[in-house]
Amino acid sequence: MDRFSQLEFGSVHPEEPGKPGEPIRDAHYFHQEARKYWLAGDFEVALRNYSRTLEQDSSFFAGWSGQLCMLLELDEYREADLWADKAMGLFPDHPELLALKAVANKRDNKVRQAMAFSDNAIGKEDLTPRVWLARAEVFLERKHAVVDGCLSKAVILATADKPIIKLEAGRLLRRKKSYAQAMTYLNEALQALPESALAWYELGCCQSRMGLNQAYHSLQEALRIHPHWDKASAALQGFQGRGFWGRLFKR
Amino acid sequence: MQCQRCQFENMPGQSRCFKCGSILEGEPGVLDIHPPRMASWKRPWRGVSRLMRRHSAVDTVESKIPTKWVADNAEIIWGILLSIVPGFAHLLKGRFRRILWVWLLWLVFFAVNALLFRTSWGWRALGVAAAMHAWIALDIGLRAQLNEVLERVFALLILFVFFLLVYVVLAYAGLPGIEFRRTPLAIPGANVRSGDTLLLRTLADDPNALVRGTLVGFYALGIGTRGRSGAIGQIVGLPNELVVIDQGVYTVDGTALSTHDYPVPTWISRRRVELLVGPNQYFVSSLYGRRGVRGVRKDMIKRLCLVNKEAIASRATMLWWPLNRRHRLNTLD
Repeated sequence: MDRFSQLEFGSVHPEEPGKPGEPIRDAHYFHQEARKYWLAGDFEVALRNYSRTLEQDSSFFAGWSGQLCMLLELDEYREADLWADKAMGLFPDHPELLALKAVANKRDNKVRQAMAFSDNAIGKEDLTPRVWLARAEVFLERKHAVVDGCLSKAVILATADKPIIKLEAGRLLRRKKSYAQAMTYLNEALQALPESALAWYELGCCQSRMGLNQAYHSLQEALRIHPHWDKASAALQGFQGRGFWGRLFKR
Repeated sequence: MQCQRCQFENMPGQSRCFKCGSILEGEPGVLDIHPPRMASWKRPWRGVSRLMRRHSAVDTVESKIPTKWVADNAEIIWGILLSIVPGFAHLLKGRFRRILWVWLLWLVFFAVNALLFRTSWGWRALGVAAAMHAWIALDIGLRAQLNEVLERVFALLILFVFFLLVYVVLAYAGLPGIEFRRTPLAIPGANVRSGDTLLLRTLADDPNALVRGTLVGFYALGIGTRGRSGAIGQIVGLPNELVVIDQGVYTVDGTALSTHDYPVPTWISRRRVELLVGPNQYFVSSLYGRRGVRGVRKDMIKRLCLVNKEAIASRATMLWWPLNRRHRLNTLD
């Protein structure tokens, strides 16, 4: 018998069996954290968490692809390109890595290389939704029918992370200035991810461009979830600064 | 990332320790999982570079070119075009470290040329600047096309001559209204010596505005020759004034002028001469070479020194060379 077992410590309750305690800080935990920060629009912290994911398990593919996505979000395209090469050392010819390289090149305005990487990615087996999203991005300013087709394929391929893919599709369409179409995707994404500041921000930007008053609410919501977010604050100020005619003509 | 030296826990992706500055290295045999990060100072450069790529359409250059020859040599032409602005090609190619050197060197040589323009050292600096353009064109556009050393040297020479010619044409045609001329006159009052190079500006304003003591470029008649040639002289007498040359001194309307400011050239200093300047004329003191002519007659002095207003083309504004005596030329009157 333990010598302290008879001591009384006041109201001590035994731990309830169903209640979760301190989470295990493994690769999946940091991956979830990273995704949370990404959805909140805090790409720097998300990148740090993706790195922690790989510290736990360097063979965790989502960690590598997440790092690449965050580098792309932070406009560090050449670093993303370089890092994709490094990741390919572990996952040779992975279609998603090739697709992310295509996106890095496309955003760096190296269109020819981007198309080559995208073609290469499409030619592989076991395509992921991100491969089709990358394909859509490469053709974003050229062939509208191809873009729509690629986005549809990406959404169809997506299983558990369908809202995330819809959010990405909406973001792409916003960049393409197809605001109405983007809003459809973003609204669907927001039904599953109501606490995503990024989704609210994207929706707010689309609504702002459409001249809709709901933009105010969406951007406010983004700022509620992620206070002091510069981009959202700037977008909100920009929207508030526009009068009726501004909203009408700056659509 | 933990520093091996001071054990400080740095942010992931840092290349140097924030605390002690030592280079951060992963443990040997351990996979580095921290991605490289872009330095913040590179961000605007990358943005400009991206923008240039977008608008220059480097990727689609082949689809826009008209003929097969141009299509075959698109890389070379593109390289030459990019080399026109030093550093621009490196900016597009993302070779940022070299931009600084290219710009710095080119600026140095260009500045030296501007400072010593139209002098022998100025031409040398211009030559080096042209050589830099040629080297950039070779480095960016031609190196991949030309494999042989001789081919590259030959291409470099051709490019050098091309850019030098462009510079020379620009140097002469790009500066209208400016000319450089050596003066035979020595005027101690203006700190001008015989053989100095003067910078002259074309008279854009009314020649009536010229004052006494101004050094002018004019079309002079020669002694023993026909026609006129460009010369530099000093205005001594203004319209309707009486100029007297006596014992090596100019006297204008009864006032003797200082020989320090208005030296009398030797060819007219030996005899007394009185000349009335016409209403449309100036008395311009200058040196003349006398080819086979002995003695100086009054009518000769009158013919040479009384210069019509229309014959005065420019006014000296600066003593350009030698550099150690470079200064603005102010009027003496």
